[in-house]
Amino acid sequence: MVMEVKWCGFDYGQCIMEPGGLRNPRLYGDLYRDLGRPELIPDKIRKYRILKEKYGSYGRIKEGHRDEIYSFVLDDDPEAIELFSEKEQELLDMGEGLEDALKYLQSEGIELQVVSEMKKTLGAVGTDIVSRFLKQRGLVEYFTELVTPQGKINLIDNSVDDKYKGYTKKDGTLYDVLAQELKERGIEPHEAVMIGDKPETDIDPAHERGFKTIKYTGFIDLGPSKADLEIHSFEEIKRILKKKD
Amino acid sequence: MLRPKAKKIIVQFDDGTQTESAFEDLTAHLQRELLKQPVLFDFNPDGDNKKFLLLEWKDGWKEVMAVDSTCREINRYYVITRPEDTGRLSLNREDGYPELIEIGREPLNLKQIGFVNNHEIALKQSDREGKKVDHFFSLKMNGDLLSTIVEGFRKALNEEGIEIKTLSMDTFRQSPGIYPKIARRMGIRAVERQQDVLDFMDYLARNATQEP
Repeated sequence: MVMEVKWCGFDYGQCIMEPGGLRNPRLYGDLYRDLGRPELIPDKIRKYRILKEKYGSYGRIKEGHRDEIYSFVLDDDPEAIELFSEKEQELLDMGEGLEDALKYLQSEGIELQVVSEMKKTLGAVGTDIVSRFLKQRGLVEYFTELVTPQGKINLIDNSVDDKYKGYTKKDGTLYDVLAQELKERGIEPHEAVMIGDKPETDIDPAHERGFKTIKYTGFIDLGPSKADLEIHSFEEIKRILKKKD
Repeated sequence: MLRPKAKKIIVQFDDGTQTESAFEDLTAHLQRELLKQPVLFDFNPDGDNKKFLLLEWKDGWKEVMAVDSTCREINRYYVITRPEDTGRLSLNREDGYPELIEIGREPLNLKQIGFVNNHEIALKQSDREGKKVDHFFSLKMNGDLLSTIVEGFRKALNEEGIEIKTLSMDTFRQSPGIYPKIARRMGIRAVERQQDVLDFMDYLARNATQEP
């Protein structure tokens, strides 16, 4: 199946960014060896795992309880907190084959944007964890804008367009605003495709608003969705997506 | 059986010098490692309130472990495959920070977890995340742990030729050699600390002698 599109949106977490390399022995091992306190490594790993049991997943801790990582695990040590954020960034991976796929899409002339359900800035806008990842990995070459419920962030000058503020992927309102903005640029929703892993935020609400949708299962398969297609590797994009004239 | 709390650790060198540290100043990991050693007593005594976790595998193997007495119930059990398998058992605790127990012995083949009640476990779903797979297990309650295990204790005593009616707790405690024999009969080993087996036998003896 070939999809002809003018615009392509990518989800961030577990799609552009894969957290598979973020292993606790590496994260806390590197951090506390750098701090010159390697004997604390087993205690810190254990505390972080206990926090995971308290909140259910590392994702939930990071979304809503990051302060507790600092207090319960890192003992509010400012040096450890700063290093934690640095190491965390270093250990995040990119989806396999992503960069090749982005090069291809750009060469086709397909417009690219990151569409992330980033409800809170983990850091100031523009230096938040998503923006930093995209900048540090050189992905700004492909994505100059990041659409989020906190606004549309320009990754070049860090300016924020408040048009999207308060709208979310989960309730679909963010896709309503996106569809309207694309229409103003002459792109209909059926000429746009959204790629992501989460049915409830990346696929189903976008599909219901007429966007084409591709579920990416390369990192995790989160179950049934309304996606038009499923891909396991970004390599597949090169034979699926073509520029619509 | 109340035991003293560890307060200080002293290391003596062969030149006659020595160094010492408050026990609580050691890392939590080192405290746990030291307290697994048979020469050291329990540093956080719960006395008669001590709580136990009994693990039972599909091949019949059983292991026991004393857990913090503030643990109330099982939160969840799951196994992470990376490709090595590691079991994670989480227990709800009063202070809000769960007790986390890692299970290394064939965690995918665990059959039952005894904590307050018996919980039969069955694979519910497996979720892949990159190169890792999380296997989540359902827990189905199957009677209370104490009555089942006390019954097993009585049976083991009987097989050893010991008549429980003739015994008191003092008899048990003055004959420590009985406990390892009964534990062997019951097929119970320690998860990581042999003292837990002896404490568990003591707990069972107390309950077995209290019942009519």
